[in-house]
Amino acid sequence: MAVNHEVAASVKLTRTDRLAARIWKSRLDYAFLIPGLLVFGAFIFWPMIASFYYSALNWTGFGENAEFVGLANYRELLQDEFFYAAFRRSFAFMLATVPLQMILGLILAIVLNNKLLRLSTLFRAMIFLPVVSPVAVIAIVMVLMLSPFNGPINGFLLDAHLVDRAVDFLGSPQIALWTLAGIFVWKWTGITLIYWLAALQTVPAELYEAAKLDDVKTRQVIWHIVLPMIAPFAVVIGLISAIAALNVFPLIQATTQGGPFFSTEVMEVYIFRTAFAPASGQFPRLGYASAAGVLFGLSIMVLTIFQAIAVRRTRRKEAEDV
Amino acid sequence: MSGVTLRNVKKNFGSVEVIRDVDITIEEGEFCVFVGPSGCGKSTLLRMIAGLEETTSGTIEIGGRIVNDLNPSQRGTAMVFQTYALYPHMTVERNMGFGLLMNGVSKSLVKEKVAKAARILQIEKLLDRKPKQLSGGQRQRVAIGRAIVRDPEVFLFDEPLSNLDAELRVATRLEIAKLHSQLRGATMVYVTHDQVEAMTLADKIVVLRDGRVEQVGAPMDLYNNPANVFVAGFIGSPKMNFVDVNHGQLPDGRVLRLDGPNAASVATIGFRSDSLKPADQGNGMISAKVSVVERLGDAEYVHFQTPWEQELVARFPPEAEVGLDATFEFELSGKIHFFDANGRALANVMLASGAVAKPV
Repeated sequence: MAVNHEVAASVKLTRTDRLAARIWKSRLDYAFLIPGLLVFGAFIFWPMIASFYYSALNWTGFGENAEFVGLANYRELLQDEFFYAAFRRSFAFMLATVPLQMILGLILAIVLNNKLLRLSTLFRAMIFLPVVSPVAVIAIVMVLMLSPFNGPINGFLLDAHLVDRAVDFLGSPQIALWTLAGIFVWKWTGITLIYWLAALQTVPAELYEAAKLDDVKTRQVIWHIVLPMIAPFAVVIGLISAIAALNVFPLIQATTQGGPFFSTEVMEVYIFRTAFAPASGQFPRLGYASAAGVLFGLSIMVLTIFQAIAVRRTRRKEAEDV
Repeated sequence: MSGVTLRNVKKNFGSVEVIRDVDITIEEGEFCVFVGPSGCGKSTLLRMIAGLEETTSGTIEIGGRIVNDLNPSQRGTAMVFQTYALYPHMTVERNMGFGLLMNGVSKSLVKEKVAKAARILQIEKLLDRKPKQLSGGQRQRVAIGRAIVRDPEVFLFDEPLSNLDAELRVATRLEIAKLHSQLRGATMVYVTHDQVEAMTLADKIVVLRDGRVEQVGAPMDLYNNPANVFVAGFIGSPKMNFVDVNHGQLPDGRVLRLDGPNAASVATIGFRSDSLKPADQGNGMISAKVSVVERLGDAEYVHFQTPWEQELVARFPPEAEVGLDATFEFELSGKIHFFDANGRALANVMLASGAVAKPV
């Protein structure tokens, strides 16, 4: 037995040695990683860990009056109807935007993937322009465009007699969230388009040619050849879009700040409000907001796990198809 | 009535002329091979016949109809792609029948046609598989099957064997030859860069270079009577030997006596590996030193270097046991080819017997 232990120890030793040697051999690579790791640690990893800790505090976020309360914040959250409403809105927003964005992106991608289409690069650039424009700029422009007083969109709708009186797109609680969903889709369809275009590149040109020789109509080619071949990508693109659709804080903060009457208060806006900008007369509650953040983060993590599984399946399927 | 005729066919990609004034006539039922080095335009020409590339000018006729403005599907052609172009998510059966099904042909008729093609190609057992479950050779058969099912007047093959390994390539080559005799009357146009494929399969070979037709003819025609240095060098394996001469004088000063009215224009003489016969020391036309020996079993190809550092190859019997660095004297016998300064073949030239003079 003793011998075995020694052998095991020596094996372990050589293994560690080898690892150390390998790290030392690649020391320059590791050195280059350090700045990135520091930034990642300071701005992503540390806040994530810290928010778990904060979520157990009753703390304004200022001063040293933090009080450890255990799971009290979580218990309170589960009674908070604003929390539930925000949670629901976040996922409703996601369910409204993702399918729209994906179908729109797919249609545009199929059209723009046609090499014979003149100016397709120009169209691609145009559709991609909102993606690269800052959210704040888009928000300001959209607020002006959609204004019920002198916005050109209402001007058009009134002139065309499509509505009797100006629609307050961002100011009426019934439609504000859906207006924002529309703006969001308009801004981000370009990126979905790029994903789909990438997926379409996996369909070899010869397949279109073979279909052409077989007198298969374009619509049949899309339905019977292209869509089945790119379907595996839908899962990945869908999940990427879904996670992106839960990430709408800048757009909402720059347009409605969660209003009117909390009708656009999605999870992130709720967290922001409780943490930093409560109604007058209330104290900010960083601990409580952290708890909400943790719950929301965990639910996104579940989505991400689905995504990881789906990506792996797609890869495996692709590997089999080759 | 389903031959293919190309008249003054040209193709430009932007300002680049890739096909220059090509005239080719392919008879009905003929197996015609377009051969040439990469970039010669052979695939482009095939794709123009298929209708996958537009023709810049000139006319393409299939079965007596001008098809320039017809869609690919209306031309009566079927194409087998180098990459097979099978639909990866469909079974073999559906791959073969897909085109017909999409065009409203009844399911039972499609099934019948697919079964018939599968029988011809002996892939009946593979009908339920997907392409990824097939070997390269099997995929190739399915691709050919998809063409057969369409019942085309003209089969177009775009380098169909180049993705197969050497052994399978030889086997599939034979299959395609058999298929041609089986599908009597079907015109086949076949593109390859491999002159062995061209020689073994073709009724007619079209040798292309830089978008031009260099020569058209039956395989042995091209082998025996190449029209120019390019064709002479391209057809036949190993490559033909070429030696530059100036009024019969070789670079080392020996003089070959050439007879005939065109003898004075000869700038290059060409001869195949089996035309080099060892001669007694001092009596040869060419002397050369062994540099590499390739043993193929049934023959030895011995590569030589001449005193003026040119490579020549000679065929020796298998038991020859030629040693490296040995020096040989050769005389030329059999078919000798003569070319002028522009590389064109010259007729009416002969090598006079006992035709060598010592260096002056």
